[in-house]
Amino acid sequence: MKRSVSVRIPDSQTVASSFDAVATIRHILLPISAIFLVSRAALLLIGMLTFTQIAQEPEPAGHTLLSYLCRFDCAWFVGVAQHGYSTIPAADQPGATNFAFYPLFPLLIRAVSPIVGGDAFFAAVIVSNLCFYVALVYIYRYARLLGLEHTAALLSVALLCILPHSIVFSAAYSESSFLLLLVVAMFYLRRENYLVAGIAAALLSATRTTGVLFVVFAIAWIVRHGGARALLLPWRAPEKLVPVLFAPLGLFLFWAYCFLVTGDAFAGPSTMSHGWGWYFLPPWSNFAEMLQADDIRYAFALLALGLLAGSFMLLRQGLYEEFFLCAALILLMSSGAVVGSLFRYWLVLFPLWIAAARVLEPRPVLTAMTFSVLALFNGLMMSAWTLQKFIAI
Amino acid sequence: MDAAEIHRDLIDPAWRRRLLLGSLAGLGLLYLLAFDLFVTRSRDFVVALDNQRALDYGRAHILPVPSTLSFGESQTDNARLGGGWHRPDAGGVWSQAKDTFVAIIVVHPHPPLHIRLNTTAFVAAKRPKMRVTASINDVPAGKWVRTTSNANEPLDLQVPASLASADQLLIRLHTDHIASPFRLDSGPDSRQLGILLYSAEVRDGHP
Repeated sequence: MKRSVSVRIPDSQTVASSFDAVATIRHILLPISAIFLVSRAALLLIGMLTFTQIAQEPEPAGHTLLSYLCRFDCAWFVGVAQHGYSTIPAADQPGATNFAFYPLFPLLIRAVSPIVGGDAFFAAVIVSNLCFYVALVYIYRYARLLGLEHTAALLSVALLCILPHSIVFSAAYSESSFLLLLVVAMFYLRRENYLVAGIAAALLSATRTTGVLFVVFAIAWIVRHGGARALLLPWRAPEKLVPVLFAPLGLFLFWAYCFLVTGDAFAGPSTMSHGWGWYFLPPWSNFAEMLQADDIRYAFALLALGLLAGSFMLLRQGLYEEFFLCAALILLMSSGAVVGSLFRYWLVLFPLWIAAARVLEPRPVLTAMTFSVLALFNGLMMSAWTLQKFIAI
Repeated sequence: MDAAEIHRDLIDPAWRRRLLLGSLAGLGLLYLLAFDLFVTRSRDFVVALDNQRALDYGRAHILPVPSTLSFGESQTDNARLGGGWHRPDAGGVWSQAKDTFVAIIVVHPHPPLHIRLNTTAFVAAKRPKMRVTASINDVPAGKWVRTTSNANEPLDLQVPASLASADQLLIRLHTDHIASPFRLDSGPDSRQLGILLYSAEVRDGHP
């Protein structure tokens, strides 16, 4: 008697998807992981060498390799995660309170903290690096969505890892969560998944005030793809407005919280003004002032203007929405009279780095030169960061 | 209605779109109302805390009349300064905001008082005029115009008996602008400055 044997043959779709998964891991996730890990390891090594070979003071007790990831604002973020917000100012900085720091990153630290035995700093480093890694994957996908080839998209990722001051993406800072939410919001808006884009945008404005400028991108995208009609006749496709109206939600919720706790919805700007001496100046006025200075402000002004000029690359590449977003962010970031931190604020302008990668990709010599220069400056910034120099705030 | 719209209505009925639009409009309206509430009701919490701290200190260190207060680096009277001031400098304390506060609590009850604030207004060639107003417990107490010729003149505040007998005197100084010397080509200081307060005299207000 012939015995029937049942053999399970995977259908063509299963084969294709498993092949896709393997290909994705091999061709996309592996290179991104390698770029991520090598760049982080190199920065930590520079930090360690700086501390052991250049720093004047000896390592404090309990100092580990991860300690290089806690500088400047790290203690503020970890403090909010551990103890919540407080109106008590810092002893050595009158008027400076932790209301200057937006809540999403500390909330993420608090959520992860129990998993790592309650160590809030370690949790912050994990959150930061995880967000950065996922952001890199999304930046790759975003670049591909914009029509970049595989190599150019990977180049965008590499640029972001090697840009001066990119250590903040691995430190206990909110830059990486901001970057992730920005790219996710933009990616899903371009994919017309309005709800996900809206939720990411709402979380973005709870990470930092400037997140609310996602609205600029969203409006530009809606107008470009649906014409002015899409805004003027919103009842035809109201779902397109979801990201626009969700974007300020995080900011408003934080304002409401501040209002209830302190009686001052704008507790963030208040404490920034009194504790950090921050005040608003129109960008043109601020640029004029910075260009007159004979200190680091002059360099910051030149770099900001250079970035603004560089953002015209986006126009040339037809990335109008990205151009409006980057220009708005650069102008807003340049409107504060305190220039510290500008370096790390600029890092999140990933469309610029995608546009740069597109220009660099067919030019290997220029690419090598650019990467060499950026790597040198990144090393310098890492040393400045380790030694807590003003330029690396 | 074209075929695309009919198809759309089938997969996404009009009532759902209207509901979504209504919800989004509601959210937008909520933002406007909340923003209006925040702008009109918010008070700078750092200033409020500094004022409270200054008043608490004043209550614990009630001033006799007459008294002279000195402000500047390592002066104990700095504790009577409320919100809106920079860290004390060697020659006094600069205002960093348009509104600044000084808390004074004198022996109670008391006849009319005369308070002289010895100040220097930051006026420069590019910003030659500054308007200064003062109020005590929200009651107007004087206004002045300071120019390059009278920038160092004191601000004299007459405090009537009705006001002087209050539990506490919270003096609010308001300048119509603040500016950074660096920005006005008047020096390297890039802080926003209004007026420099270096001493205050509290005297009996009877002529």
